[in-house]
Amino acid sequence: MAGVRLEHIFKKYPGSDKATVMDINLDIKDKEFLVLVGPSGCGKSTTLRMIAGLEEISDGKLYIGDRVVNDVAPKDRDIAMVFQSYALYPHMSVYQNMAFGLKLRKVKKEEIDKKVREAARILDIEHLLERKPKALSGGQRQRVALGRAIVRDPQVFLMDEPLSNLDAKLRGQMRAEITKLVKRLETTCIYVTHDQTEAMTMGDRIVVMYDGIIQQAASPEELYNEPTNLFVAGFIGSPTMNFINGTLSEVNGAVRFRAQNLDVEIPGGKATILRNKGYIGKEVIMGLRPEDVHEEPVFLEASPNTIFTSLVDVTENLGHEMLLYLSGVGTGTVIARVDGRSTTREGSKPKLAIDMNKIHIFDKETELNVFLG
Amino acid sequence: MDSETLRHSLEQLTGKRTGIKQLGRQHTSALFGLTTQQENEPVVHEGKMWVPIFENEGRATAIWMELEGLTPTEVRLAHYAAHNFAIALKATGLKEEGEAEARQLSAWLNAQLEQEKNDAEIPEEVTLKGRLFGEMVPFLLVSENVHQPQMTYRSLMKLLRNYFENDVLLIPLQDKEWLILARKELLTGGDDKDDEEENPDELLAQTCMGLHELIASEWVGVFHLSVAQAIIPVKGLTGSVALLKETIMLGRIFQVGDYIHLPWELHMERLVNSIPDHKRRLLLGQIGDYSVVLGDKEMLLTLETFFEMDCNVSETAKKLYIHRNTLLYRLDKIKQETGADVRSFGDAAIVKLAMLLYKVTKRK
Repeated sequence: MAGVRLEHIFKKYPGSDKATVMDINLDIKDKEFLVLVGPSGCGKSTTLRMIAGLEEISDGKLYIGDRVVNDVAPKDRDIAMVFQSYALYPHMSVYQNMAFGLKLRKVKKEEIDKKVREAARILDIEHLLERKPKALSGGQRQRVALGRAIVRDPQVFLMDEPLSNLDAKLRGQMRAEITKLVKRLETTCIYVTHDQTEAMTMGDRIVVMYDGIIQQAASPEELYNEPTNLFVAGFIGSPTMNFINGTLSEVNGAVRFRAQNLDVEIPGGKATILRNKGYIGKEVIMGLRPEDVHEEPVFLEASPNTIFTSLVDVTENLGHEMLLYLSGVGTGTVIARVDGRSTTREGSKPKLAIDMNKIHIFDKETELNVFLG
Repeated sequence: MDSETLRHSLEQLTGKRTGIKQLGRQHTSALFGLTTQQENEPVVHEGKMWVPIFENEGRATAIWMELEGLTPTEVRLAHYAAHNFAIALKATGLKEEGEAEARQLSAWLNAQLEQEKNDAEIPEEVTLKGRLFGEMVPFLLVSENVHQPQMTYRSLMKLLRNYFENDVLLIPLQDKEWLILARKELLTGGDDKDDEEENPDELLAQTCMGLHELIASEWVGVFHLSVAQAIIPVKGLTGSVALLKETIMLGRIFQVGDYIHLPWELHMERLVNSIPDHKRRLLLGQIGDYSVVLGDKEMLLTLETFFEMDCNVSETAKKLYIHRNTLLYRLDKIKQETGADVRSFGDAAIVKLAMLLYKVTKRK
């Protein structure tokens, strides 16, 4: 097994005036499950394809283990890739699909048979080994594609949106299975997805990309609790973080955040940072996770300086939780995530309070999180 | 005659199973001794006769035939035929068996393409003609390989033979440009009833994806691949190759970042590309100024996806992983910037045309 290192990697297509991927630096540890996540066109698949050798690297160095592999053909990189389109070999049976790569490498028949059957057992496709791809469902095809990668016993697994073509239920199921499988095989895995839920649940570490640039590389917890900028804060989390434009001011020694129908006090530690960085009197953006808006009386009682009142436009009861869509605070909609047993109804104007210890303040120009760095 | 014709003839004449196998150095040495050229007697191993027909750097390509039930005279005759074939092949001086015939066909094909004779029939003097009467699926591979070692006919042919169960032709057309001809029945599964229900374009697209995945991961990394409908090559090969070449050229212009290009997905692009450059620029100017929208990466991606999803808002939002309202906001912004509402067919057609003209005039 091996780690993967990207040093100042760039990708620029001929005829294009801007690089698709810019100055990517990443050190992926041996046996790490790393997820590249971001919206369409952010460069995550291009990065993966460069690691696989399916895309030329315009500049920079790529290491697999200790070896620079920029000019090494894909077959010699000791990697296995699973694509979104699960491109199976249509004229071969499932068994032949899985065995083919090993046959090319002149692995002995008995060993091929052992590996294929073992992978088929792990993936629960033993009963499908004689079938052709066209006789399989989408989920089964994806399992075969995974099986084809597993039997090669590679140093690194590369997966490009492998679950995108599956329905929601199967996707959830396969998500858990892939995580389990990679841990069991103790292999380095680089996984590309647009789905932040997939990223948060599968990765040891997540790299958020946007516009060809790494925005943040961190553990799921760190990414959620300490987003480095406005993009990451908005991309990770569902429902997404609320953003409220407002101004910071100092009143009687306390730092306050003021916006339309909102005037709340910022706690000591955070207030000191804002004061020291010269943000008093400036316009900023407050980031607030939906679960940090509270309606429980106990919380309201304990946080008298963060209470506000807002109109509930819509409620969505999901059983275990309820989402309140609030208007009148700031210029847009604010979403609050409260207990599923809440009695708040549409059209009401409940009193709510913010857990100010959890808020983020973003610089309006740089969009960076003021509390970090 | 090429080795596949020899194998087929031997199988027909003797009624026994035959095959062609590329052997590694060890296997070559074990079967044929240190040199492969001194053998005048048949080598028999596990009930099969093995004759080396080509050797390169200690690795032999051999033809084998099952012997059970054959008389000694029949075995000697078969050996004689194969051995003489090997001697003739050696005299060509090429590095791989089959390459001479492939290059002969290539020379003829290139000459026809140069003269734009897209319906010429393959003449008798082309040795491979005998193998071009059945229905075959043509693929065109254009490599942008940057990895070492450089590709060789032998290595690609070896990979393709394994994949297509020996029944494949590889024609090197130009430097890094290869024509692959595979038997149609192998890809479609022959007379399988299910195939009748399957969309032939879809099946070809899947085959192309499978082949792309194979060559990308087992041979070279970066290359373009195209496939056309099955043809009987003896008559339709030139036209088909011209179509494939044009498809890859169009794919490189209009589908940047994609490596599989399918002729039936590029009709409009073909039309736009056929307009002379000065007329294209003139037309683009007359249609209106869309450069603000088309020069914005996010907007361009939004429009491309919207058209790909047949102007369906929900499907486009899903494909772009954005909220439906975000998409509607972007479409409204496009309307504000250009005056075109792409949710109406007329405007959508104009914007699509502008988009294609914009791409082909290299983002003027």
